[in-house]
Amino acid sequence: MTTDHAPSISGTAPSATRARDHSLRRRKRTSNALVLAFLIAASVIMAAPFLWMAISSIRDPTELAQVPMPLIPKDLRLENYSEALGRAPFATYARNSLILATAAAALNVVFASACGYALAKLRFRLAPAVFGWMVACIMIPFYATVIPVFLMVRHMPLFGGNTLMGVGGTGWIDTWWALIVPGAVSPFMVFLFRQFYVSTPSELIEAARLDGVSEFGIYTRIITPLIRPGLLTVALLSFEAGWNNFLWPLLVTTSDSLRVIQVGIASFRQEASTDWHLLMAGTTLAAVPMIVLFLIFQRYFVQGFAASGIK
Amino acid sequence: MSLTRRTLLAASGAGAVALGGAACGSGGAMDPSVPLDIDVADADLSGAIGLLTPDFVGDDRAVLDDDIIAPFTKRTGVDVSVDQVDWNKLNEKISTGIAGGIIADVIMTGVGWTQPFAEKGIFAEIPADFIEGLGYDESVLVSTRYDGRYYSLPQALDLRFIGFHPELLEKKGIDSAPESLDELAQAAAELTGDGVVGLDFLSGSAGSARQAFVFLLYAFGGTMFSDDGLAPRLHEEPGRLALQWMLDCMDTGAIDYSIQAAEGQPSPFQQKKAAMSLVSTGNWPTWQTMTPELCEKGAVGTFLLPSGVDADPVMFQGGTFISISSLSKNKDAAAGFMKHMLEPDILGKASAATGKVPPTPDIPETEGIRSNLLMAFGLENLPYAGATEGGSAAYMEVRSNLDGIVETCLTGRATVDQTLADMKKLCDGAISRI
Repeated sequence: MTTDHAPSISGTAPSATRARDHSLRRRKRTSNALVLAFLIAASVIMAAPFLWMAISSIRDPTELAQVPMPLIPKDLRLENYSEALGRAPFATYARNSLILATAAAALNVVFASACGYALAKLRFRLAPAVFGWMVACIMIPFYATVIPVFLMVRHMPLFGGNTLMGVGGTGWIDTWWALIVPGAVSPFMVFLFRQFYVSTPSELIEAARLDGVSEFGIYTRIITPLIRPGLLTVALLSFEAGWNNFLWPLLVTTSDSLRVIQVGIASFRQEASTDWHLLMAGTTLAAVPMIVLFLIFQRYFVQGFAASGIK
Repeated sequence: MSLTRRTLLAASGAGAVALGGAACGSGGAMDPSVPLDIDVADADLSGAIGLLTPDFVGDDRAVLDDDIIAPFTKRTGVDVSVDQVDWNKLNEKISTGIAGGIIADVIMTGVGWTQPFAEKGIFAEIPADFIEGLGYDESVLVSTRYDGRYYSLPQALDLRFIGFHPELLEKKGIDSAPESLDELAQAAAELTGDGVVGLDFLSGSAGSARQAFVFLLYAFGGTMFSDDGLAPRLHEEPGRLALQWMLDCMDTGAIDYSIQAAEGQPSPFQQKKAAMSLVSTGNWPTWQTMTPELCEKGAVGTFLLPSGVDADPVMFQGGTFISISSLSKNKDAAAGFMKHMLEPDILGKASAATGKVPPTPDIPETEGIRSNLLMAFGLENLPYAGATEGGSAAYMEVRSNLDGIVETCLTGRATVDQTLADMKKLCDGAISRI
C-alpha cells in the first residue's frame, strides 16, 4: 500500500517539512507566551494601584504603618466601609454625583453631537475658524477659566434674587444650575464628535436630502445612528468627568445637600493627618460605578476611540 | 516663573476682584467700611451668617454643629450655615468668593493668610482692645496683624518641633537634647545607620520643604520679610545658613531626601525608620489610629528646634485663624460668633475634636487634651512658637512657588546662591504686584 504525499514545492522531504512546521509552531507558541506574559505584566502594573486601593480598604489601620506591610491583610476589616459611610452623608453625595454625571453625559451627547455634526457636515464659511477656536479652547486650562465662569454663574440675571443686570442676589450659586450648566458642552467632546461625523459617508446625507428628509432628520435619524460607539464614548467620558468633578462643585455650592461624592472623600484628609483605611474604603466605593460602566461598555469605548483616530 | 494652577487662578482672581468689587458695590447691600462692633449684646443679634471652615471634617463636624454652633444659635437666635472646604482648595474658594462678592461672614484660614486678605480689604479690622483683653501670648498674635492692626485671631494651632525615639538615642549614648543646630546635625549623623536615618526633616506629615526651610530660617535668626512686608529677607544670611544646614545633613546621610513621606502617609518616624523627626501636634490622631504604641507615655521624646545663633530654641506655628469678612451683611452677628468661638470652653471642645492646640493654655482641661502628649508639649512652649510663615501681603503668591524653589536646591539642581536669588526674585515680583 502506498501513501500519497503532496509534493513539496521546495522539494524538501516530508520529515523536514514536519520539523519546520513543528519549529514554526513552537516559535509561534513561544512568541504568544511572551506576548501573553508581557500583557499580564502590563495588566498587573496597570491594575496594581486599584488592587492596592481595594486591599487597603479592608486593612486594619495599624497594618498600614507596619514595616514591611504584609501584602495580604491579616484580618479583613470590613467595618472600614461602614465607618467611612458614617463619616459623611455619602448617600446624598452619591445621589448628587449620579445626577451631575448623568446630566453631563446626556447634555454633552445632545449639544456636542449637534455642534460636531455641524462642523463636520454642514458647509458654511466660518466652519474651519469655529473648529480651530474649539480646538484652541481645549488647550485653555480649567484654572484659567474658573473665575470668569464663576462670575457668569454668580451674576446670572433674574436668578437667585439677581436683577436683570445680574446684581443684588447670588445668581446660580448653590443651585443645580451652577453644577450642571457650565459642564453641559465641552469643546473636547465637540472635537470628538466632529471626528466621528467626518468618517461617515456624505453620500447618505445627499441621498436623504434628495428624498426630502429635513436637516434635523438627517442629523438625528440618518447620520447619528451610524456613530453609536462615538455616542457611548462621549457619554462615558462625560459621565466620568461629572462623577469625578471635585473643584467646581466645591466652589459653587455651600450647602451639604448639593455636595458631591469627591467632596465626601476629601473629608478623610485633614491638614496633618489622613485616615488611610477610610479614604481607601471611600475611594473604592466611589470607583465601583465607573469600573462597572467601563466593563459593560468597554467594547464600544475602544471602538469609539479607534474610529475617531484618537488612541 | 513656572505657570502653575495656583498662578493661573491668582492671576485671573486678581483681575476679577475689581469686577467683583464693582458688582458688590452696585448691589449696595454691603458696606466694607462699617467698623466691627465686638460688644453688641446677644439679645440684639439676629439673622443668619455663613462660616467658611477647612476644619471640623468627618466626625468632627458633629461637634461643630452640636457643641459649638447650636449653643450660639440657642443663645442669640442667629443661624450659622457652614461651608466646609478642604485646606488644599481653601484659597480657590476664597478667591472665587471674593471675585463674586459672596464670601462667607466668618472665614477660617491659616498662618500667613491674614496679611494678603487684609491688604485686599477682605478682612474686617478687629478692635485691638478686645484682642489684648484675651491675654494671648504675643507669639500667637504676630501673624494676626497687618499694618499694625489686627485682622484675625488664632482659633487652633498646629505646632511643630522635633520628636525622637528615646531607645534609639540611648543606644547611641545620646542622653540630652541638642542645644544647637550643630549638635542636632551631629546627633543625627551618629544615629544614622542600620536602616535608620538620623533626622527626617522633610516628610509631608509635618509640613513640606518650604516649611522646613522657614523653620530653620527662624532658628538661624532670620525672618521671611521686613516688618512692613514690602521687602524679602529670606534670601539673606540666615536663609543661606538654613539651606546649607539641610544640604550638609544630606551629605552626611543624617537627612535622607529619598525617604520622605507624602502628606498623611505613615512617616518614617512612625515606622521607626527615622530616629528623630519634625513632628506636628496634628500628627497625634494619625498616631492614635495607626501606631498607638507611640501615644504611650515615654514612647516618644520631644524637644524644640535648637537655635543656630545662640538664641532661644524655636517652635513652628501653623494653625487655623478666624476672621470676619469686611463684606459681611451681618457683621455684628459674625463678631458675636467669633467671640463665641474663642470662649475657653468652646476652644476646649474644638481642640478635643480636631486634635489642634488651643491658642491659650487657659481652657478647661478635657480628657482629649490631657492625653495628647504632643499638645501638652506645644502648650507648655507656646512662647517659643515664633517661626511663622508669611508676613507680607504678597505671601499667597510666594507660598505656592516657594516649595519648588527649595526642592530644586535640595535635589542639587540649583546652588544655594541660585536658590536665594530665585527666592528674592519670586518675592520681589509678588510684592511689586500688591
